[in-house]
Amino acid sequence: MALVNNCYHCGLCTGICPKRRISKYSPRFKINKFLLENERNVSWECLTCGLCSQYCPQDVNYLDFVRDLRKQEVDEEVIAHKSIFSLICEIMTEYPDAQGVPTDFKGEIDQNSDVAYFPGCLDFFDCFLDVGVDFHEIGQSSIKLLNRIGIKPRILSLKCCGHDALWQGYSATFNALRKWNEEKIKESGIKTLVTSCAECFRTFSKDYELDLEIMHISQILEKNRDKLKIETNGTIVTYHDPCRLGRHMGVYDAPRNVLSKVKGLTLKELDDAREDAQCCGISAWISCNPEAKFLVVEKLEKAIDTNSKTLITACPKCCAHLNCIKNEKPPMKDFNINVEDLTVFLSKLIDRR
Amino acid sequence: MGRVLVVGGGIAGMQSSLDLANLGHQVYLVEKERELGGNLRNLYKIFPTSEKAEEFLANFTEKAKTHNNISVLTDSTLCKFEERGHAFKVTIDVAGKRDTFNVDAIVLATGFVPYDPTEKTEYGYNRYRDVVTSIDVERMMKEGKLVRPSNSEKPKSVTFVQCVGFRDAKAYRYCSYFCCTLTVKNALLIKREHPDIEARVMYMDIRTPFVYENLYSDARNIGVKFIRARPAEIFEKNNKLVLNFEDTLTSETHSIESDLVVLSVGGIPPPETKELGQMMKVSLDDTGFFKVHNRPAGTDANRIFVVGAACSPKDIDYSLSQAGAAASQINKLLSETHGAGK
Repeated sequence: MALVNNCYHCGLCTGICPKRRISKYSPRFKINKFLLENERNVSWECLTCGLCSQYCPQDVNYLDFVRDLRKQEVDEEVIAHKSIFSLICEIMTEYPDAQGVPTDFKGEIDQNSDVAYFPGCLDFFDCFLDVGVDFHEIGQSSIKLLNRIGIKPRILSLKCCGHDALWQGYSATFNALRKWNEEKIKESGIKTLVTSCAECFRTFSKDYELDLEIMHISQILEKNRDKLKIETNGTIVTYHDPCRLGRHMGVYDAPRNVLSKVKGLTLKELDDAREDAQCCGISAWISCNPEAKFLVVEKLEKAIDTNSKTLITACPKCCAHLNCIKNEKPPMKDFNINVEDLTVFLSKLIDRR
Repeated sequence: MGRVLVVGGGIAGMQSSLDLANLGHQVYLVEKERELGGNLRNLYKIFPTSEKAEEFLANFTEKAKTHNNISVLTDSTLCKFEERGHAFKVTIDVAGKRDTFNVDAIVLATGFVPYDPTEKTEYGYNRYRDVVTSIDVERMMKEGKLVRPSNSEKPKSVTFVQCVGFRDAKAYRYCSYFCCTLTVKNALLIKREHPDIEARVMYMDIRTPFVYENLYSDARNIGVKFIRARPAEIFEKNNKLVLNFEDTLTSETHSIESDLVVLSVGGIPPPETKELGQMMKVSLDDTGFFKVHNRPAGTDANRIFVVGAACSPKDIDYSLSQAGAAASQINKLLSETHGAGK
């Protein structure tokens, strides 16, 4: 836990913590308790959004600190959707013969391509989440967009990347998933791995040991943005930076550059854009509670304030959380804004032509 | 008697020059600006005596300019440097005209430049007009205009934020030594000169060494509020600046308003330090300042010395001590080859 020894208790982290605004949560106090009293209570409140570490003057890695504490014990009570997604991961690891995620997507696919697309757990979300989002469509749109820029990808059926298991504290599950996936990826001989999920992107990049190019779909689209040739007639959109893509991986410009290439589109920035983006409210299905919902509502209201028609994000999880509030039955209020994944938004514009 | 080049006409460079000149050595004092004085020229009143920086400085510049053994070269920069046995041949651009000098020793007194906190975007310097630096506020007080830059009105509250860009792994790791005392002095002056202004200091640790501690207790006694916090963000709302922070003594988070925010900035190495170091083969510290190898003022290059903030940010008294000590070190060295000083 040398991660936090540097802390000199300036309190900047607590001052900037989004959770602190709505609760008594204090990252500094947590560190203080650990350093002085060796208190190791698991922190389920932390969103792991990375805002505190980004500004910490002593480079304290609060995210890894929280992740390490969670390894001690997992509290299933705090994991939303009755831990179903954790269970799926466990099943995947319990049965060594278990195959990867479903990859039933249409389009120009070349199973010998150097570029592979991994859809992640999209189809599982469709089975268990009733939030008004067609998650399969994110994968389908990704393939369509890759085809549009002249890439016929191979679709890689890996197991779950293990992001949630890792952040929930199921380290054994994560390690098993990682081992299986790493072997599978190495075996495949691909040169580039593209994901449409910001969490997969972070996990493959930072928590796996892979010797190949890993790209978020926004990055590969940005690289080939001249080939996209997408048009719209004067729609206004805004963009939410997912914490895994932005602060964790430093990718802020790629999605913006792709969107600004769409003819006739106006991109308006949220007042908490880029490095200062507030979390969508929940990560790794942990602590979905009224506090989390407050953050989701706040994000939607900020987006509405920009007068945008659509709030675009680049992570299926953000997309799920933001749409979940909109689809509550009955809804708490009428949120007059669409929330869509970047790929789905672009793909719909292509279809409309 | 020897010949010595002093690079930098701030308070330390002038002290070394005067001491060496009084010992009978010939001194060339090179200053890149039009005027001698360095950072002190921007200050209002200096600690711990509260005398005006202007008057304090005038005493030094007058002596330096009129001393028979000192040639003051302002508007001048060093452009060439060659080592020749036990001496140096240096070319100096004096107000656009190049001139060559032979000297036996060199004193680096290049000082510091104040940190520009624009890159600390969370504090809004250069975005909000009422967020200023400690050097800005010295200038404002010197001109007798302690007002909000946005509307020229007198502020009802002034909040000082300590360690901006310092003790910070993302900017400068070191403690800049003088800023706590400078802020405490300024908060005290504000309270003395404008008792109706609310003055607050946000600090992590107050570092006011030795007798400067008296200033700290004076400031507390006169009613300056000390809050143990490092603000997380500063933004503007309804024509006021809002600071969000955790008071780390009570663990409570607060949002307070302030009319003026003063970011307390420390000193960083002047941009030419690196080039000068390479030219003269003088090593730098990992902080970017010149490194002292042979205390109190010798560098790792023969016959080259460093004084004042050129080797680490310092207050005036500390700079003067080192400047005097360097003169003594140089006098000893030159006495071996050129005969002892007076």
